[in-house]
Amino acid sequence: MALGAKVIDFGGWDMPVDYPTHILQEHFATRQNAGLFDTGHMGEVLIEGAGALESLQGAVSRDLAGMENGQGRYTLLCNESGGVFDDLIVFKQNDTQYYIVTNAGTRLRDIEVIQSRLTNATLRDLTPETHKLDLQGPKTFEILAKLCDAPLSKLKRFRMTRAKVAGVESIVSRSGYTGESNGVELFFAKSEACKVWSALMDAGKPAGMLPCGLGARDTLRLECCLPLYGHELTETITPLEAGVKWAVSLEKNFVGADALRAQEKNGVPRTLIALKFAGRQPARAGHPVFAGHTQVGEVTSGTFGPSVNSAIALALVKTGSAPVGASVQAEVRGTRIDAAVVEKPFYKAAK
Amino acid sequence: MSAKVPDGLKYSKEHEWVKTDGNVATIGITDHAQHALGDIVFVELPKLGTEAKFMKPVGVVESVKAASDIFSPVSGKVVAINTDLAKTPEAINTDCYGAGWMVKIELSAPDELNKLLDAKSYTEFLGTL
Repeated sequence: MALGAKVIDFGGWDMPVDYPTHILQEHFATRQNAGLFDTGHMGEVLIEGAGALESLQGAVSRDLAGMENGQGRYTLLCNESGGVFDDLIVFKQNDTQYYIVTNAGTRLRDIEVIQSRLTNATLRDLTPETHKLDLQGPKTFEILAKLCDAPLSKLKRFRMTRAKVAGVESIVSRSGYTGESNGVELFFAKSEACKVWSALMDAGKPAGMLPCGLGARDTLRLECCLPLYGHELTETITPLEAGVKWAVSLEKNFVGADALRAQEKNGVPRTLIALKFAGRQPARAGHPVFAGHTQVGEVTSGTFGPSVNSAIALALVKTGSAPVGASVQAEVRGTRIDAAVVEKPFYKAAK
Repeated sequence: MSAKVPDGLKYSKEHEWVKTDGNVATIGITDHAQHALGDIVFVELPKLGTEAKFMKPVGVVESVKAASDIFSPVSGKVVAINTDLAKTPEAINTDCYGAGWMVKIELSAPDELNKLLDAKSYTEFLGTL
């Protein structure tokens, strides 16, 4: 994947038997109609027990109190220094059951960490038996209506419910990673993955839905400035630096809270800024960012943003070095290209 | 889907094509390469007068996902570059052997063309990947 200044040699590629579909097509399909993403690699973990809420309060950054059954909140799982192990969504199923969605590569470590923070509660890894598909875009509910009797369009953002989709018992949450307000994540038995996928493909195709890969997933989320673990969030980047302070409840006691409170008090040293380039040449993760002659930080993610028709990037820079409105440069393979620091997000989907 | 491999051109294992007209070679990337790269958003071409060297990088083609080197399949002086690609880099995706041409080079070592593959050999090569 995009690795900053690294340049990939054509001859060294592994070519799949099937040619990939094009990212731009998939991106626009999602914004205009719908996109179907196979996100089965992500993790699902169930926390159960009388101590579930209290344990999770001490484990994650966000205040989870007062959620209704079916409600979810985006939160960070931090280390003692306030750095991030992962970003998660925690859904309350009921008073003693919480359903957590994790990233794929971080899932096993998340499980270890969360497990170590539980008292009077148990953790069950549901991932091996669960498949997830994301259906995102304006025609999401129109497509789902063909496969599901439940009034899913009435589902509010960050709420989950149970429904039969294509005859398969599923959990449906109104959430996703594209910035589209119409979109769902579908969780169901892994054994039914092909059935549900095929049913969605058949139902979605007439509506202009396309199956989408990880390339479009990245362009879609970056346009909306959604952080990607491993880029904007890492064990050495705090949620305050990454601009997700809203997912942190500093008044609460959780692992990492002390460090974050101190950082807040002393001044957050770095800030994640949004860069919009005049042209289409992308800057990539790791490329240095300059304000005048001084390097002030580096790009954390960069690509071409199809809906805004220019190269876009997120960059982590010294706080105050590049406020909104400033001009900076990213150094790409030895050449500095101009960018404007803009307000986030680059793109706002229609409601 | 199989890649287009026109006859009459020479090919490198790095997926560049060469069309010679007297002592001038036109180069670009192949259909296989453009499809693998996906949507191309930016092309970095060499300056006129640059000395291209056989199988050494002479430019960069950048897709939505990542940047990739273009290796010159011939040695010689760059005498023309396709400036249209600055505005419409996607021409490489839609017409890689025509409007998507990248660089014209005045050959300094025409014998090197013998090191390249013809259409049949390149097609066989693609089959091994």
